[in-house]
Amino acid sequence: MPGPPRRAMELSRTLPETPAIYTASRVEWPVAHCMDCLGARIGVRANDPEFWDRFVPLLPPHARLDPWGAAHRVYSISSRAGEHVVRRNGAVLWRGPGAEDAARLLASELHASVARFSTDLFVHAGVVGWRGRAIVIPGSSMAGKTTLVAELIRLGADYYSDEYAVVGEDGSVRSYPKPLSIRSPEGHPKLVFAAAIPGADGAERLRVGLIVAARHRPGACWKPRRLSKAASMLVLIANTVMARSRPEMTMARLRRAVEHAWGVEGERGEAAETARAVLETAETVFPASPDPHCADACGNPLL
Amino acid sequence: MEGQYPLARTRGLLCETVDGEIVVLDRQSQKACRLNRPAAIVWLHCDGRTAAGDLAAIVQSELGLAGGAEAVVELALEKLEALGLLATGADITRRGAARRLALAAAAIPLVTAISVPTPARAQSRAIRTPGPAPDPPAPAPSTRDTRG
Repeated sequence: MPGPPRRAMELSRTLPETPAIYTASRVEWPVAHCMDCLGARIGVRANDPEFWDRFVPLLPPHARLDPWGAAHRVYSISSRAGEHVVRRNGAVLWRGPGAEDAARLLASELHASVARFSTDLFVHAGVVGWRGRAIVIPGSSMAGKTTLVAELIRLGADYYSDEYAVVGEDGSVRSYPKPLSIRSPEGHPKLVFAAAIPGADGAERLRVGLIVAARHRPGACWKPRRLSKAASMLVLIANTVMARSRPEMTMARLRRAVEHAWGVEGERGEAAETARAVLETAETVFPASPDPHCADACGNPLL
Repeated sequence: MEGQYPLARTRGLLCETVDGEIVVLDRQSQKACRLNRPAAIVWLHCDGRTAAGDLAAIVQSELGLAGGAEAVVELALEKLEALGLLATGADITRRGAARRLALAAAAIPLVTAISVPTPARAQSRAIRTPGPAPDPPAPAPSTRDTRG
């Protein structure tokens, strides 16, 4: 059971973005947690336990709910008379009648906050696992990476994420299997939970094997050109959430991430066709069976 | 290019070398650049003591060029200067277009630049919001919470 909400004036001295004022005087917060996720600590509170119960499946992957305490950022969702109000650090982000919309916004905000405050490096990208390596598909929203990730999963790849490549200190990528957000033809998002996705148990960290910078253009034919490691690194920097605030971490980790990776870029048309082509490329770059020609003078595999 | 001693800028730059190319993150301009091998060779030898003319000999040697090294240096310095990667100006005579035509593709110095994204630009949202609340300044990294 969560503890009662606390005044947190003292927290502002330790975490700069923690709001100085946690006003609990006019709103009851039956639900108040500090979510710890990959080093980010995000306060979340709600006045409607039923809303919270429905929202829990949308929490970020790897989230752990702790008692209310010091946090990098605080979200509140208050529900009254059919209207929901979502606040971030006390400021209104959104208000409206739709509980589902409120939940989706809050989930999106939590993911963004984790990406911002985590001790890992978050790159906006889809990620799948294939033959023990990560295929990373960098791109911002609406770039089509979720669709491509979905097709790769259908072809047998392991689902790691459709939103973020979480890059560790050694340049490897860990899973962040948030629900797949697939858009309808009208543009409305629909969630497919990771538990329903075959192979969505990418528990191990993977070294990056292939970086696919694919720009979707209807009718395009996938004829990618090879990217150098440096060019691939530039593509990743362009999609790194905290590149400006953590430039040293960004450069160091992405340098390691591209160390053993190939990069390709091009325009793609249909995701199904592109996914097959991507896996064919992956088979060439890091085949299931060691290629005797891909070894150094001592017989150690180069990839 | 005679009499010029270009000097690479170092202040405010983070660099990583990858397979003979260089990725530079400029903390002042918030741009990230990729220097291909010819451009990287030129930049690395811009030490303020090597004349631009001598750079051509270095480039010719390192790239194994039969000719055109001066054009490589000229083009590279032009691009490096444009992106603020030189501390002292190279005073380039811009004859780039004609020179490029004479170079083999592999010898053409390339400097690709992107803007380093802000957190807001790099993230996506599930649904559109009617204008989010202004974000406080990003906190200092590696803050640790203190529970009490």
